[in-house]
Amino acid sequence: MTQTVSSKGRFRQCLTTFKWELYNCSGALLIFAILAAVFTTVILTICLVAGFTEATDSWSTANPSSIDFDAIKGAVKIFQIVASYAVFALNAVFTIIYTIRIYSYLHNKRKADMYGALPISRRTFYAAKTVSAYIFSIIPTMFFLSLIALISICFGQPLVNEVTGIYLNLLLGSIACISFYGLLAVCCGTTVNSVISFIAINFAYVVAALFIKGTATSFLRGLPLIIYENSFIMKALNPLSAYGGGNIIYWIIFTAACLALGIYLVKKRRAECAQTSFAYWLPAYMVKVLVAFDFGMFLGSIFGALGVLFIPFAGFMFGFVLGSVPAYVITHMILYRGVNKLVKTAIPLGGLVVVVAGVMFVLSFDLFGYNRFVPDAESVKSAGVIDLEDCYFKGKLNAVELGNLAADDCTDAKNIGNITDFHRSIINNFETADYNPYADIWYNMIMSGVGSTFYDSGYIVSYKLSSGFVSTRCYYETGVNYYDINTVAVDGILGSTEYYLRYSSIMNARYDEIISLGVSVPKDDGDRYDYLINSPIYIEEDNNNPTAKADIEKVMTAFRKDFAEHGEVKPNDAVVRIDIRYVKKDNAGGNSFLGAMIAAMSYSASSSGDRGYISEDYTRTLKAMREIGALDDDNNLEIQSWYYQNPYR
Amino acid sequence: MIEIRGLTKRFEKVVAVNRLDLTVREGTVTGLVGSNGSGKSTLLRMLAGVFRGEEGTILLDGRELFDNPAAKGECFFIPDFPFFYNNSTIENTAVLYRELYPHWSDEAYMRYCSVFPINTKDRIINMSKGMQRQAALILALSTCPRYLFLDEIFDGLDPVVRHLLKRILIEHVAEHQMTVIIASHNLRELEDLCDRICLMHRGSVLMERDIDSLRHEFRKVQIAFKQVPNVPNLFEGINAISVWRNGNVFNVTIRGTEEEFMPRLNALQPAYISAMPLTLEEIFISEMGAAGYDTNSIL
Repeated sequence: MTQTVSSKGRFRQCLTTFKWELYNCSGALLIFAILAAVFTTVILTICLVAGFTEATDSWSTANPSSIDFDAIKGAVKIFQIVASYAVFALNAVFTIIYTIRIYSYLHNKRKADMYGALPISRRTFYAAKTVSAYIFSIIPTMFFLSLIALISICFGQPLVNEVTGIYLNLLLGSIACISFYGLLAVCCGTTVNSVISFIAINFAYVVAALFIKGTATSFLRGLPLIIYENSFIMKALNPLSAYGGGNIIYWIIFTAACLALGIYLVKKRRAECAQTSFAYWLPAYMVKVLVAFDFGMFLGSIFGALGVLFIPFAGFMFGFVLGSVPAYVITHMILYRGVNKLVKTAIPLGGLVVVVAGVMFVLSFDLFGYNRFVPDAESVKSAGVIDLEDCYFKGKLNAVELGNLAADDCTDAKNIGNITDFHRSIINNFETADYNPYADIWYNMIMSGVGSTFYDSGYIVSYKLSSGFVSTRCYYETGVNYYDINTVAVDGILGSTEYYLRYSSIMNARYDEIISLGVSVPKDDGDRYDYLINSPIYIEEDNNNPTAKADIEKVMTAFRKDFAEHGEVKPNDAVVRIDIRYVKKDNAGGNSFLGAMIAAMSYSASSSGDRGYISEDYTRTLKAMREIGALDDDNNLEIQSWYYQNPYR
Repeated sequence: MIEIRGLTKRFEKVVAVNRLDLTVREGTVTGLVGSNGSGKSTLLRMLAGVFRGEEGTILLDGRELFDNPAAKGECFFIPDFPFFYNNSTIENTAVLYRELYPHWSDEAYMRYCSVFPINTKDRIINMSKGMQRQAALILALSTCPRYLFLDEIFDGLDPVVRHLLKRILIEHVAEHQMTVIIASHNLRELEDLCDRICLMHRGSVLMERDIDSLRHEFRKVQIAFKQVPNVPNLFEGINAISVWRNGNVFNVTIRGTEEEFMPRLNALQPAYISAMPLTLEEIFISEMGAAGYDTNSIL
């Protein structure tokens, strides 16, 4: 009978393996520690010098208490963020080094001889090595991040959100990437192939997913696919994106799956595959198919858009074959160091071309009538329409969820008829326009990858059919084939008080999301439309006014009660106007790296605004504004208040 | 005891080991010899648990060997090119083996460190080929293996260390019933050390015999005639494997004992006749020749 438990316990074997890896990676760990310590010290020194200089600008012996301690705290805050990201970046580099080194025992015949003969089971050994890689990647970095946090706290600067997020992202990113690389290392025969496969799958998958999404969005008009921007589907094989945060459950499952598969395969792996191309063919096929698909779509969409061969579909297929076949061959030659086994492994390429041809044929000629579908008003139980430009839940909910939310809005036949008419007018617009969906693939692919910001303008139409099924279509006013959507048929619905109550930001934004409240009053000249928009009072939290959040909540609570009681106020009838700016805390938009950068650089992308009008009937709101010092008894701006006197206003 | 039954190992289309059957008794030293690519190293790797055969079994005292830490803890394999990390020293590598091998002996380690002229704190990677093998031997012997698999171990060792190694191995086998399997092309060294020889060719065992009986089984006979007898087939009735003639002098390799063939040869009335045992190398060449692997067939 096979005895599978060593006389040395499994835990002890794992510990021994860990110590052995620790010894072998000690050089790299030491370099990491030195660099992290130097970076931290340099950044701290620079920030403190700058902070102290600023803090003591106005200091004099005559006024020794005039040191601006906030400037020091600000400098420490900058130190906290910059140093944390520097250590984070350093961790990424060194994780690559540890990981490649730790799994290289699978790719060298001499190492395979040494490790293969050791009295430790392959699975235990692999698992212990993987855990070692996790520890080497995470623990030293966590140590330095904690040190940075500790220094900041000692200076009175608590952890900022940018830094607290790093801990989880680091953890998820490290374990996901290490596990995925470990799995690829088991499947590949060389370290070079493992690295190539890791990079290629990470990037080629994302590009492929974007191409699929771009194609589906372009061909299936109304398909609410942009919703999946933040879905794990878009990054399923892109563990590098786990460093960016989000999809926590998915990345945990992904890590566990990679680890389990690696442990399962490593026992069956043929040790003699070291220094050959692959031990298991799956990564080779994945890389080749994904790269071939990407290049095929690249050329195919261009040729389709240009109308090569006079028929866009024919042009697309010509371009697809022209792009995918050479890409497949070249990738094969890189992975196999030549054309060995090229013909034998070309079946997936043939399958890819056939599948793409079939799918694109169906999409090009709309064989299932998706684009023309508008339900009969009689078969609709209820329906709804949402203007994305005026919907607080956009970004928080995806388009399907928004559709589900709106589907119950209108139950009367007239409104249902208006919505189907509106829907039909959009479709008619498409059919009469000279629309080439191939021209939109690139736009939708790139823009949807950047973020939902480019899809702000559009309409969601949804129906609850008699069968109970909810059908949702989402039409964006964007793309190369730009078109206007005429909303005449649904203007009554979109302008209704019910719609305002249900979807407007001013009625639905959470108090903790509102970052500022602007209060303005009409000019004295009696022009009721001309508000003092250049000099309103802004109620926003800062060091001098820590109660602003409470003030905002007080006014907004009163406003919402008044609105519910008195209804919407026309600008002509208003005595005060309020403007809010808010940041959606659980906004799904801008999750991509590029999207996040754009969001970070653009104020409008990171925050949104809405406006409300207040008549004299809104007694609660006016009273609340007086109480916080925004208005005087005559409903004019209170010039004695801090908000008015604020020199930075 | 090692029992190998129907063992087959393929590298894609190449059959490296082909339905091999072999039994190795405990406390013996077995020499694996054979042509290049005959499957010796592959067999050793399978014995060490590095490779797994596609078919057949390897049983070590009745236990399956592959991925069985308990069984592997009693074995040690030194490949033809042992691996060491750039920063590995004997001292730090010993830490790994000490933890993993159940029979590791610090006493043995100290002893072999003093026996082999090598600094345990030096980086192994910077040592000469022979010194690296000595380092591997120190570590191997310190694990007190019951089964030791050595691939081309004599390669790079100087004559003194070769002699030392043979002494140590013989001592271990005698005292601890250690079983040693050595794959080597250095037949001269194997001749001194091995109890049994296993001749491999194209993945199969061509011959497996005790070395003493092998020596007695073959004779190299030199016969000189004043006048070569006019007989159609001079050595008919004698199991002559090869005959080489130089004028009136014949060098004949004969399978059999002197009692069997001498009366027949004396009947030819030679002017001079002498018989002596074959060296292992000569047996190897003659047996491989019989299997179609000789210089004539190659050229």
